[in-house]
Parts: sequence; C-alpha cells; structure tokens
Amino acid sequence: MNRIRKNPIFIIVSFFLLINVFFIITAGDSFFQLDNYFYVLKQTAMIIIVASAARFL
Amino acid sequence: MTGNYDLSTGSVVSFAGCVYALMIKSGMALLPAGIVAVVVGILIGVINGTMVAKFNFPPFIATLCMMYISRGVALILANGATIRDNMPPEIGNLASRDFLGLPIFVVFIIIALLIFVFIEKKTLLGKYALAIGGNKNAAFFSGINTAAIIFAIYVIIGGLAGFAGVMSASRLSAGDPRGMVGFEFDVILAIILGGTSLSGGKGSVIGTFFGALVVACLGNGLDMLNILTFWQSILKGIIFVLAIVLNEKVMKNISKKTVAAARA
Repeated sequence: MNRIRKNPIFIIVSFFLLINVFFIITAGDSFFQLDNYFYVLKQTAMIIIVASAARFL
Repeated sequence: MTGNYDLSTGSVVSFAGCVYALMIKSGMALLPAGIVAVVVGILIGVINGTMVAKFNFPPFIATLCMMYISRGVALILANGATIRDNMPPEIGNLASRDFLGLPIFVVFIIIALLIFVFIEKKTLLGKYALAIGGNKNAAFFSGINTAAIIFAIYVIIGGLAGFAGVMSASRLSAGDPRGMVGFEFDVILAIILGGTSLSGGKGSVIGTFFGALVVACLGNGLDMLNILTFWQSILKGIIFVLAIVLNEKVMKNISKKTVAAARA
C-alpha cells in the first residue's frame, strides 16, 4: 500500500480526480459532460502528443 | 528521461502551422502540405539533435536558439501577421473530422499513447533512453550509442511538433506566427507532473498523459468559474514550482528505497 502511495502515477491520478471533484462541485453540470471532456482533450491533444515523445529526452 | 529538454517545441509548432497554412493557401492539397510541415519539424529536430548530441551544446542553449530562429522565420513567412486572408475552408477539415464517434484529435492522442507506451516498454530506444538518464557514462561504456539515441529523440520530437503545427493550423483555420507561446512550458509541466525525473532515469508515458490532463482540466475548470487568465497563469506557475519540489522529493524517496534494497 505504501509503495502504491509513493507511485508518481498514483499521485497524479489522485490529483486529477480531486480536481475533477472540485470542479464538478463548484462549476456544476457543465463541467461533468462528455462533450466538455472531449473539448479538453482536443485542446490538450498537441501537448499530449509532443509531451509523450519529449519525456524520453 | 535522458536529462535533456527541448525549449523550441512551441515555436516549431507555430512555424510548422504557418508553413502548412501557406501551402494550403497556395493551392496545395492537405496531405502534401501536412507532410511538408512535418518535414520542417523534422529538420529543426535534426538541427537540435546535431547541436546537442554531436557538438555537445547544452540543450538549454541549443533549443533556446532554435526557439528564437523558428519564431523569427515564422514571422518573416507570415509578414508578422496571422495567415488567414483568402484561406480555403478545407484547412479546417482535419480538426472537424470524427472517427467512430470520437473527435479525430482524441484518436490521435490514443494512437500516440499506444505508440509511445510500446516504445517505452518494448523497444531498445525506450530502454536505452532510460539507461542514459540513469547514468550516461555507464550507458556509453556498456556499448549504447548515447549520441544516436538523443539525436533520434530530438528528431521524433521535431516531427511531432510539426504534426502539432498542422493540428493547430487546422483548429484555427489559420497560421499564427505569434501563437503557442508557453507551449514548451506546458509540455515540461505535463512531463514533471507525470512523475518524470528532471535529472533523468525515471518516468512513464501514462503519467505524462495524466499530467497534461491535469493542466488542461485546471484551465477549463477555472474558465468555467470565470477566473481571469492572468490568475490562471499565476496558478500554473505555482503548480510548476510545487510539482518540481514534489518530483524531487518522490524521486529521492524512490532512490533511497532502491539503494537500501540493493544493500540488503
């Protein structure tokens, strides 16, 4: 359990979920919609594609 | 992962986007124009890779130079203004396309993640990059061509930045020579948040994906709360610092555990 807690992926996924819960509560239903998540992914696509390769540097 | 970095990505995206927009404007079809933009990115990757891997320039200096050069050339090509006038509407075709009900950009993300997870887990390039980041000298003396690996990674990044330029121009239906400022820092922030060590040797593609999602969700959520972009920029800076501190702490912990386990 301790090993999982110190895993960087576990930390970032927890942080991601926490942010989502926060914005679902504060920003309302408009945040928690499939269309909005697609919009976020479309906006981030370029960063994700370049970062996936850049992390090998 | 190898302890290097690329600060020129934002300018290359903008430069390739301008090249793509100019090609489309001059009447070229989408695919050849896209290929030209990707080749432009690859060429800049080759220059970056040559400076860092062959001539041992510090990556900060080499990629900073290319950042300014790419931005300057983009501004010259576009005459300092956004390339939008008389632009054929087909330029936006790529961004508006769907595949199996998913926006095409989401499909690109899935493909990129699959390819890079495969490279990370199953190929020599991924394993050698990890080894170089762990200890460059040890990797070199064990027979790994460290310069070739670093060069190859710079070329791949250049090509992908070129492709991102095509995506960007398609989304905006224009080539923006002043766009994508701060893109390189978003990339580095996503990588650090995803748990990749700044000094090299550790990290994962999936972590980077979630790191980028955190940055994007924060921006999107704060937009919905009507928080000004100036404040978002400050918040991003604070997260950057916290991520670096947390990154170093977690990495130190992992290293200590590894050393202790090796001694036991």
